[in-house]
Amino acid sequence: MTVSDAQRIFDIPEIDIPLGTALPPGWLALLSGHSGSGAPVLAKQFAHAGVGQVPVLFYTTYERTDDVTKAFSDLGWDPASVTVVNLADEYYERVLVHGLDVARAREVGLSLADVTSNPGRSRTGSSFSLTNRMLSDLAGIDSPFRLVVDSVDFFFEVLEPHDVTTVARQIRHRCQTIGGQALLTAHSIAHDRAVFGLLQDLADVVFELRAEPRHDRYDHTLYLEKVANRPSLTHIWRAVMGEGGWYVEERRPTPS
Amino acid sequence: MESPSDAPASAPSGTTPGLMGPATILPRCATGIEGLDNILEGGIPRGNMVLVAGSVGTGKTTLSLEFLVRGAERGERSLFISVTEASSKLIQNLSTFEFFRRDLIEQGSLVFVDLPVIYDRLGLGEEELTGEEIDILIRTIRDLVRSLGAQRLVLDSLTSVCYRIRKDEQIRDFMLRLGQELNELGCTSLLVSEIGPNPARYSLHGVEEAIVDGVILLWNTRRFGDILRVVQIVKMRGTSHSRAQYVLELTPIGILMAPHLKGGREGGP
Repeated sequence: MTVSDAQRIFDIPEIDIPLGTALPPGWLALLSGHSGSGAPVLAKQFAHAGVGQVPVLFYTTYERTDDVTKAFSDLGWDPASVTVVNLADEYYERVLVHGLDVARAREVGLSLADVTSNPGRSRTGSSFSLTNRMLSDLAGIDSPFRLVVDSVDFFFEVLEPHDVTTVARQIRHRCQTIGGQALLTAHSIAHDRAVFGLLQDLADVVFELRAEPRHDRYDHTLYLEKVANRPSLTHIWRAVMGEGGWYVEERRPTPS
Repeated sequence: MESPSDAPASAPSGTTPGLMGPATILPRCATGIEGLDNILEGGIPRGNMVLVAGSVGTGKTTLSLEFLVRGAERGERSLFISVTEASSKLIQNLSTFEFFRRDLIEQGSLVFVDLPVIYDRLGLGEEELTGEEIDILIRTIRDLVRSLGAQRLVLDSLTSVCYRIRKDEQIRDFMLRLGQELNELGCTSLLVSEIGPNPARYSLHGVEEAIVDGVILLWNTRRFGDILRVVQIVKMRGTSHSRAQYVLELTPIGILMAPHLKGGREGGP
């Protein structure tokens, strides 16, 4: 069995071969990793691995679009093959900037020009739905796709908890219906644990990437914590960042 | 400069005799609706805040719009704050009346503002307004009136605003403060109140009618198979007015009023 026989998940044979043959065509994965763990790179690696197979959408919620594409280029991956959607920028333009306008209007008042000018030109937050914005893209895809949301932390910040799970359910349903593969990342540990637990339950696959200090460097460990209906596939690897992204090795026994 | 409507309509001396001695007639803001001005001794006392209460289709908005158009024609800047209907649609409907002049809008004498735009600009998106938000709303209306130099204001409707102010004491405070601010600016205002066909009161909460200076009540009544619009001045502070009922007709040239003959009446407010 080679990677080409299975679904390419990360272009990491140790993961792709067992998982890629075990998973159904459509699935949802959750990758958690605290700040500095390297999870965003692994998320981009997941996106890159889908290039050439299916259309790839990469939703970023905290990086500038240029930074995302540069990160792809730096790792030797063609960013042009990935559609990068910057939800944070859109949210900022349509909601947060409106918040600044509101603060100013409340402080200094409104002029007649403010309220009689063409309302179409006004920046309004009332018509922007983060979930609709993303899910409408999904609804427009009618063939297998790959999707990354990096990260759902942003959703926890701006949506009600039940809306976060609704988005995840919609993505999962879309994946299952038309054979999509989606990866949601979570970097913060400050989420509502109950809701985060629901996300873990919803996900078919759950990864966690951890960085732990060892003397003058950090050692990274990739945990495959859950594979739906295939608990025997769970595993723990040593993760190493190479020139072309993450790869994994079997962990060496800790010297006693 | 004193506008023609500032002059007392029926008392050249500025006073009328009464039991308590000569009474001062307050400066009037002529509505421009002849029948109404006749009942009101020349118009609404300037600076008064008046409730225009009525059920659907009774002519509240038309009466209010004519009040503004007639004022703008007299050189009084007039502001219409629309809550439930887009002002573009209102203007479209208004253009069917011969008394409407689009140039009044173009020259800035007649200004339409949509309250939802104000809500949006001020971030007043929640269903219920807080005390601070009510304060912001009052200040905003005051500032708009002041910056326009508006002598006439219509809020259509007060009911829609009051749906977002849930507590009676907050409505009382809102009405008192808005009335005070507008009065200080010399702005005469009509606040439209939507009520049912057989109301026990003239406003959503019942608090509003106690605060305002006047109540103009409109309703539909049936007579010989026709539905007539009827108007009655229930209350107008500073005015010795008739409380008779008048039939109100919306004609292309504006509102016409005639005494309401009671024979054959089948319904009431």
